[in-house]
Amino acid sequence: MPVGDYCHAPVEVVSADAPLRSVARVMERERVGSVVVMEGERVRGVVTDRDVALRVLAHAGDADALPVRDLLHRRPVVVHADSRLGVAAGLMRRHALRRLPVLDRTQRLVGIISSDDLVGLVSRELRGLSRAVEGQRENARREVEWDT
Amino acid sequence: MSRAHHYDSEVCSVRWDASVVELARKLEEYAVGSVVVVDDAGQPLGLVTDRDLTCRVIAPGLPPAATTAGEVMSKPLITGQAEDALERIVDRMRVAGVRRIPVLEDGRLVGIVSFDDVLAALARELDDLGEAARAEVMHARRRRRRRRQLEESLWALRRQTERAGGHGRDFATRELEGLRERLRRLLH
Repeated sequence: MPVGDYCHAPVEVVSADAPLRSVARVMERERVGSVVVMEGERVRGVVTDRDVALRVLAHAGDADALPVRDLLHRRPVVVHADSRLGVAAGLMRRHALRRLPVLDRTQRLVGIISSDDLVGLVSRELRGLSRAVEGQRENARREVEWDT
Repeated sequence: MSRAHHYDSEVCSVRWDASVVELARKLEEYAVGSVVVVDDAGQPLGLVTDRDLTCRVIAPGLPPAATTAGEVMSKPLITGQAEDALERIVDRMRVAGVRRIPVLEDGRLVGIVSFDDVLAALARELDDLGEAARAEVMHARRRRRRRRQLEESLWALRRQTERAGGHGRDFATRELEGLRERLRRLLH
């Protein structure tokens, strides 16, 4: 199952120069918990509502002056659209992240995948499995009834 | 059935008149996503999450030092009881669209159940189940292998018995009975 089939698009993006206040407004207006930060066509990283809250309030950051670039401190962790879902889950675990930008082969942003998406998928699989078990049990019961 | 108090973790709280700056520092210091706001007597009033701070303080441009937890908290507080079944708590999360439910006991705040805690606990249980299923398969395979080995020795013994006469046959018959008994025990 490739990541590209399950990721969300379109993605809310902000420019790396955007001040934190405007990023907070995008998060509020669009009802999203994170945005992808871009520098031109290049993905620079993901910033969450928590990152913004802590930088501005716990660390007295000036929301109107600080650019969102300031919150990015490492190479972005991304996943490719044709990677398997397990690869995305492994990256999230290794880097303690809940959301990953999804890129195509030309490094273009095509969506975002979250740990909630993965949980939803797993739970659907489990539901399917439990239905199969129920069906099996029902068949066994019918056979017993048939025999007696 | 699991009860809420098996899943809750330590809860972080601030007084209603604490500033959002103090609240944000608590979120960071305790590595939690939300803080329960309490009144002067320690009774829970509402909840503030990291997201609330971004949407209700930073986005509208409220002055952080002069904004209190009580002004931005979500209320009424959706709570659970320590003795509530976990299903009930999860159901409440679903209906209210929240990921955290503070847990009360005799009106006192004793913990908080987060969606992530429940998920992690379920994942551990599933992992144990998977492990049990794998162990069962391995066990069945081992039994099948041992049964095959025993069947082979039974056949070998039978062939020897047919060839042998007198004492040899008596000895072999006894051995055969012993093996058959072992096989019977193995299969039941």
